[in-house]
Amino acid sequence: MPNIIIVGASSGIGSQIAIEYAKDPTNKIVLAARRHKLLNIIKLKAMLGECIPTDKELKVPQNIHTKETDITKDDQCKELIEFSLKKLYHIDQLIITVGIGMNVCYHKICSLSTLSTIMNTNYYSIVQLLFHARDLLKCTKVAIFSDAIIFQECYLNKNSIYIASKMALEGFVSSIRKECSKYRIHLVYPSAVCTNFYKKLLTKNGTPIENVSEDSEYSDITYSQSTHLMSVENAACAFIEQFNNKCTSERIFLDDYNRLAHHYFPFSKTIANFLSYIPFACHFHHGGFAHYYPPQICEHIYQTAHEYKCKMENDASDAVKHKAQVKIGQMIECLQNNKNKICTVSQFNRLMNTQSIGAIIRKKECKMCLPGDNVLIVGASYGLGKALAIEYGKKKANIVVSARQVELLELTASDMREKGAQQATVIPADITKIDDIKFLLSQSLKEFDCKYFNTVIFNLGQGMQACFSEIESLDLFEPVTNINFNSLLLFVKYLIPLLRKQEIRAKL
Amino acid sequence: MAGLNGIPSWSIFSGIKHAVRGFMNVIREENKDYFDVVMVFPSILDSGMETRLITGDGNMSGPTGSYRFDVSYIKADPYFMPVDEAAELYVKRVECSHLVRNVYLNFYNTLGSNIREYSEKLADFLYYMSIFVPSDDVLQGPKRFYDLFRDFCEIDKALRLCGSIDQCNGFGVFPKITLLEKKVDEVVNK
Repeated sequence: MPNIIIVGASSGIGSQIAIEYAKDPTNKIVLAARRHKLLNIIKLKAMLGECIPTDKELKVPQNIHTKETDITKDDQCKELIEFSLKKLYHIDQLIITVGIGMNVCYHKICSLSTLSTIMNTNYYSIVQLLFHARDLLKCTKVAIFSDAIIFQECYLNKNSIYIASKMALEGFVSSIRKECSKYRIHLVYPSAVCTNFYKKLLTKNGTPIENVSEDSEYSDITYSQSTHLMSVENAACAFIEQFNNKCTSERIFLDDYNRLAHHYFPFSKTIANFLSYIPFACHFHHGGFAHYYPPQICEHIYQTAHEYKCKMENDASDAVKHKAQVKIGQMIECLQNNKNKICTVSQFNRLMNTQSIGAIIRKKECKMCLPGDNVLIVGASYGLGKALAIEYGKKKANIVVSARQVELLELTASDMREKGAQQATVIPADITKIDDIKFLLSQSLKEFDCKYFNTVIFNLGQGMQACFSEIESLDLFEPVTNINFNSLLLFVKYLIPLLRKQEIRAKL
Repeated sequence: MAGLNGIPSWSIFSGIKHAVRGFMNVIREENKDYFDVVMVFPSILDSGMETRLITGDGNMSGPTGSYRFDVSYIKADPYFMPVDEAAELYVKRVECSHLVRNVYLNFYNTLGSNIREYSEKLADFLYYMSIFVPSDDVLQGPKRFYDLFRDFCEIDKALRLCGSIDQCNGFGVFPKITLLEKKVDEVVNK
């Protein structure tokens, strides 16, 4: 029977998985979470079912161990792995279910700590934990809970950092899986499961949504017990069943909508996207997708997609596939073209019959870079940034170039002037520092006669090449993260208000 | 391109570039009424990046260091696109339309961006081609790739003709993709 570590076992799907595993007394389990008290309750639940007597002392089951761990802290990750090895001797499965979401547009975020909380919890902590467990990875099966929305590449407003953290996880896991064929690291997509996750979404001040008053701007997120939501019990069982079977796929889907979306993904991204939206459409009552896509119609499309899937299992010919694509594609297009107009299935069917549906071909408007356009290029001291500055110089633009090294910037500026730039200004700045960013943006606008930006180019980057198993220290991640990502977050934070204010539409 | 593909030995870089892609996609959606967001996927450029990489022991790579840019897994001479060429292409593509969302500077990656929706395997293959076969002269590359390249172009043309993702099957694109996947397998296994 397997030896298992479950991280994030104090609540939600993590705790349910723990309870399910604990039903078999031969499983040896280490439960880890920040809240140790909750872990003990989970342990008792696992032992006794739902009845937890409070008045008498309980015997602690020998096969379950708990460890208070905050995996955003490096030393505690290390301790958890050491503790687990001490208690279990070897680890067969590592299940990571930690995660935190957000519900606020990026430009409204007041507290920068919100950004780091989400990135630390959803991404860095997992990298950290895997780093300390890297010697075990060849013989340990790892499951990391992610989000199906990411796989389908549906990008949701008000989720910028959450999406970034989950995407980072995708890229990281995909890379390390390719480094060694023995790594069995799976990303699990639970879709909309009935947990407290949605109550704990962070708002602009970093406060969880459940602590914000009901009449606030967040009141549009109404948590409901919809029939479409998967219960934690079902999600945990579905996970354990798939994970313990000979699962070779990188991705594990826990609900039918996403499994169906996965089925349609290779031949229609539109259908796949829509299907993966359905559980969420029924989840958020007002502000979310249900506003556009009424649940009963989503369900109607889901049923059609499911019927076709069954047909395709019997006859996988291109003709059947094509028929399914056309039919479901039409349904989705009809729904998208009639947002807010459809309330019932019969109304929807009527529209489907009367409306001719064709491919939407978007007209492209030409807008060339004109002489005198204002261009800001960050990271222009060498490489592509410098070449871009020279290229815009040829177009006779007004250009501000920025980077840390003044001498190199001066060289870029003189090259630009040579090629015909109307104005070439050098503003040295370190984009990892807030003051420098503020100074750069205000000074650039002054150089452009306090007008506006036409084009802003962000071209910073720091590469890192090393197999995950060969990386010596976690400190090495810092420069890569700071230059490639954190600096972008800061820069965009101060740039967005300026771009939203100006009348001319800019390109970033 | 690390933001699109998981690349071995580049896990940390790849992770963070994926994050940048996800983040900027949301920023694009949140601010679509105010400004455009264009993401550029340049592939490997002749920008001297190989001299500024952080390595596993924390040292920087470079001419004076012990570490060299490792592209041995490609098994051919890599092609690094000159930065001037990349910059010219970028300005040409990004400034011709305000609807441009993503700019792929290498021809193979442009092809790959269309095909990725249908076949990750073919897109990955194109990504590797982008590194070691000059985009403007496929004949200079290994000869066995020429036929494949022609097939890729045909599929790309068909995909563009579709106009809508859901109509592609009507053009018979899917059987062609399956066939090409088999051919790529054969070439790679050789």
